[in-house]
This record gives sequence, C-alpha cells and structure tokens, in this order.
Amino acid sequence: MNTLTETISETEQQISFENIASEKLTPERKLAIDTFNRSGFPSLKDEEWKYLDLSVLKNTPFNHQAPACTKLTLSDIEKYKVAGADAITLVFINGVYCPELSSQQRDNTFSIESAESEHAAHWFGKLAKTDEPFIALNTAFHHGGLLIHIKAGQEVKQTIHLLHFNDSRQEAVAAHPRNLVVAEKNSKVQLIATYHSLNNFTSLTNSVTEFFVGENAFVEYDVKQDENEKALQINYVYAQQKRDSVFDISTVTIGGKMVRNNLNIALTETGGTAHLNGLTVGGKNQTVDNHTLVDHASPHCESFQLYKNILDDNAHGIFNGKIFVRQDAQKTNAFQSSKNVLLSDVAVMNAKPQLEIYADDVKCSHGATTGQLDEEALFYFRSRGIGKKDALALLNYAFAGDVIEKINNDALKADLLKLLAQKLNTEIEFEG
Amino acid sequence: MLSIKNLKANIEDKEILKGLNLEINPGEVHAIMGPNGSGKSTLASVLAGREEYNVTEGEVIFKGENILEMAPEDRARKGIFLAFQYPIEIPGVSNANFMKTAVNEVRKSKGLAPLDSKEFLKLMREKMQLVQVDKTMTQRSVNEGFSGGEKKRNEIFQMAMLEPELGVLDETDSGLDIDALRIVADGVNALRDGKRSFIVITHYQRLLDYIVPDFVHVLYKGRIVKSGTKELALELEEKGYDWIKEEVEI
Repeated sequence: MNTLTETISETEQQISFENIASEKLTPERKLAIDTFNRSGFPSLKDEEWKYLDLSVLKNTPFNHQAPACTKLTLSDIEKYKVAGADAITLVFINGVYCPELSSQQRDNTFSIESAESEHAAHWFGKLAKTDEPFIALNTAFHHGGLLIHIKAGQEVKQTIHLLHFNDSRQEAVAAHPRNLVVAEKNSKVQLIATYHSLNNFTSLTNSVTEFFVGENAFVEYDVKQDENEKALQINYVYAQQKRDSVFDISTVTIGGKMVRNNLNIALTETGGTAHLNGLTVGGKNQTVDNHTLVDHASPHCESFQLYKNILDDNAHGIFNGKIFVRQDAQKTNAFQSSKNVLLSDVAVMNAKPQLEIYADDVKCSHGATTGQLDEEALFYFRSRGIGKKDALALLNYAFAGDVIEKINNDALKADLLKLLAQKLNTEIEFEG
Repeated sequence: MLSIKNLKANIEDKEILKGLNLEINPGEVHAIMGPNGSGKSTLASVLAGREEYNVTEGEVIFKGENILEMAPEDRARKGIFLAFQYPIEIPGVSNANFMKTAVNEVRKSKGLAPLDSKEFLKLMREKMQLVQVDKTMTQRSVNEGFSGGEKKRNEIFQMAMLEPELGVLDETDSGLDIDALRIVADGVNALRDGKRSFIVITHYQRLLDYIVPDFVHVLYKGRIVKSGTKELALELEEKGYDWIKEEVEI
C-alpha cells in the first residue's frame, strides 16, 4: 500500500507528499498542499488563533496515512456505541471509513457513498475552503470519507452515529476525517459524532464536516469529544442553511489535550434557525477552544448560542463567538451566551463575543460571565449531608445540565450524563 | 444531647459570640430571641459549620462529640439540620434529586443501604404531606422561583426527609404570612416526637404561639442573658428588649 508521509522542516513547516501513487495524487490534493505550504500553520499572531498554543501539534512528526480498518475489531468498537440508542453506526479509524465495522442501513431514507465520488463533487469543499490551513491539510490528506445524503421528504428514524477512532498506539497518527451531509428539502435527520483515541503517541484528528441543509429540513448534530490526554483535535463544521431550515448542534468536550472547534453557520435564506450549544469540562493540561461564526445573510433568521465551560486545575478555555448580520438580514434574532466556572486559581478562560451588525431592525444580544464556584450553594448541599466532592459534582452538573438538556436524543443524553459524572469524579447518578 | 460551653466566634475578626452557654436535652424545644445583631444567626451558622465563622474558644458537644472540628456534611450526617434563613436557589438540580442524594448520603454514613427509586418516592410522598409540598415543587429545581413561603416549607420538608435529631430553625418564620406560618409550624410540630430537639431562632413571639417552646432564651451581645419559659416570650413581645438591655448593662 502506498503511504503518504510528510516531512516538516522545523523552521518552515513545509509538508510534502512522498511515496504516493500518482493516481491518488489528484490536482485538488496537490493544490491544497501548496496552499498549506504557502501559509504554514496558524500562529499566535493570527487573530483567530491568538489564545491557542499549537507548538505540540507543529512539532510532532505525524503519519498521515497510517493503517486503519484492520486495527480494531467489532468487539473493540462495541463499548463506544451509545447505549440504548437506535443508531446506525459508521466507523472511521484514522479517518478511514470502515464498512466491515459499520452497521447496515435498515431503510433507504438516505444513501451513503464516498465523499470523493463524482456525485459528491457537487458539494465537496463548497463550504470548507483551503484558505484555512487545517482545511488545506485535510483536503490534501483526507481518506475519502462519506457523503451522507438524506432524500427529500424523508425522516431518518435511526440516529446516524459517526464513530471516530484515532489509533496512535504504534506511532503518531494524523487522521483527516472528511464527511459531507446533504439533507434535502423537508427531510429530517439526527446525527451523532463521537471522537475517541487510543494513544501511546501524540495523535491529531483534523476533522472537516460540511452540512447542506435544504429547505425546511431539520438536522441535529451532536458531538461528543472524548479523546485522551495525548490527543489533539481540530474540528471544522460548516453548515449552509436554506429557507426555513433548522440546524442544531451541541458540542460536548470532555477529553483531549487540545481541542479546537470551528463552527461556521451560514443562514443563506429567509426563516432559518440555528442552535449552537457547547459544554466543556476541562481538567489538567487541557485546552479547549470553541470558535463560532454565525452569518445572518437573510432576513427572519434566528440563532441561539449557549456555551459553557467548567475548568479545573490548569485547564484553559477559549470561546470566540462571532455573529455577523448583513445589511439585508432584517428581523434577525441572534443571541449568544458564554458562561464559565473556574474551579481553581490557575484555570484560565478567554471569552470574546463579536457582533458585527449591518442591518437596522434586529434583535441581538451577547453576554459572557466567568465566575468561581458558588460557595453558598456548596455549603447548602453540605449542610444536607452531601460530601464536598459530591456537592461540587452536583453543582457542576447543575451548571452543565441545561446544555445537555438541549440534546434531543435520550440515549445520548444519558450517555453524556454518565460521562459527566465520571469526569466530575462522583458516583452520584445524574438525572436527565 | 447538645451542650454549648463558653462558645466564642468571630467573623472577619469581629467577635460575635462572646461566651455562649446552652444545654439542650432530647425532645426539648428551645427558642432563641434577641434584638438584631445579637448573634442569633451566627449561632445557627456555627452549629451547622459555616466556614466563614471562626470559633476561638469553647466547645459544642453533640451526642458526646465535639462537633466544631467536623465538616458540615459530617454534622448533618450525625443529625444536625439547619433550616436556612435565606434558602439558596440552585437551578439545574431538581428538589427530588437533591433530596435523594442527601437522604442516601446520610443513610450511607449510618451503614444503611441506599433507598431505591420506589422506596424513595414512598418516603417523599409521606413527607410532602407534612408541609403541603406538592409534586411540582419536588420536580422543580431547588428553590428556584419559589415564593418566600415555598422556600421555608421546602426547608421543613427537607428536615422531615432527613429526620435529624436536632433541628435548628433560623428565622424560619420571617417573611411568612399567617397561613404559611401555620403550615410551617404544623410541619415542625409533626416532627416533635419526644426525642427530637429544636432550636427555634426567631424575631417574633408570634411563631411561639404555634411552636410552643419548653424554654425561651434571650441572646444579647453574643451571650444568653436571660432564660425562661414561654411566658418570657410574651413579656418580650409586650415590652421589647430595652428592659433586658438595661438589666444587662447594670
């Protein structure tokens, strides 16, 4: 099998293809790597990356085409499924789709095929442009990925679960998952993406997902990031919404050494609604950066953002939320809230809301609060016999709960509450 | 059951309790009255273990153990319950979930198995009736959006659930109209079983018409300066505190 390997010269951070069969080296990939090499990795001087230290990522020699589907078995996968969910599971290992580990479709409300197919070319890269260095890298090195195409007027009854593994047990692997979701007019679908890693070495998951939400279509996409302490993740999600469509996304980040999420929503036609929710529970040596951009390009659209961080130890949280209301986008409702709790003296939160409004008849608001734990509430719980650790966990759960409540999938909700209890180090069972 | 000896406590270097003594036997109800700033709420806070208060001298022996070094949760598990003057609102945690956690933590400390959902619901239903707490109140977040009366009823409900041996009621009657007061008092009276003791801190004699105390103490400048029976409360209601102050100052 041909391999893609990179060489990075420390000073210039040039990445090149080596040992790749010429037929795989498409003009698009060549162009993407050239684009990347012109820009290099983002630096702290870059306004959009100013709080995020990428040095570990830059200095790790990753293998971009590590072996994939043979690395894990069906029984390895089992425990990463969402318990109790009626889901079709699509498994990706090191960014490669593994049909033999994935479940079969039960009906034909949707179709799946390679994101590199001729049919997929209609959408591929239309939202995720290579002027972003990590998208250029993904475009150069991705492994085909999937186009998930929901047919007009169809409701997909099962949840579609994209289960991502990075296997960096033998070497440092860079995975580049690349997926497209097209929801045609009047369709409805719920997707989950979960990210996991097995590490002896540093891993990088550089994921790009593009959503095309058709007229009056409903798409919910819930993301669980549960990689381990050697895992780095860059995650781009783009959504383009047509008239009267709804796109809801909740991103729950529990694990990972460094996670950067970039969420770009374009409300291109009238009547669109988007909900963006995020919950980060960060601990020792974790950095989680959520960047959102909601582009209100049409009238009568609504967007709601709720991002929460619970940061313990020396965790570092970043939220940068941009709302852009164009001149034509009258009657826009756009709300954004960033609420954060610091549980230690050395945890850091950088929250930066940005509103750019060019229309005059709009309702927009934003707010960011960062505080310490409520000592009064803690005492109240303890005075009822609940130990300090559990009281703390319950309070944090209470703080986090309204983000998890927004998820419309009971199985995933229960799964996340369990994970949350684990992360908060309590045996108390949280209620959904 | 409870023996407080020469208790002195500071907050932010200001001495509030200046050598307080109090003896409480099982089944007794002690009312503590006194003018503003005399140290009533400080006493409640020190008993429950609020960390802002610094005990500089004295001891508090509860069931044979000095509790002053104990964490608040350990005091609660041992059987001390504080009904807060200002109950805290906690959005996101349902009252029922909160109580289930608390009840099971207390049970665990006593070596009892946790209640399962069915047993817990049964217990909760039984106790809800005591203070006319309805189902929606247990499903709502702890105290969130509760009226003043609902908050105080919820405190008594929690006390009923946790079945402490000593209940400390910190101005539970403040801000209640007569109907709400009656409900709260009925709840407390239902918990009087001849063994459970209460410290009822209040500003108003009115409460003591409903929760009839065995003893009434006047707290002034951090000390108990006068003790008597329920008639003392009536006298205070009629004459105010000036005569006590005069007695003390002389």
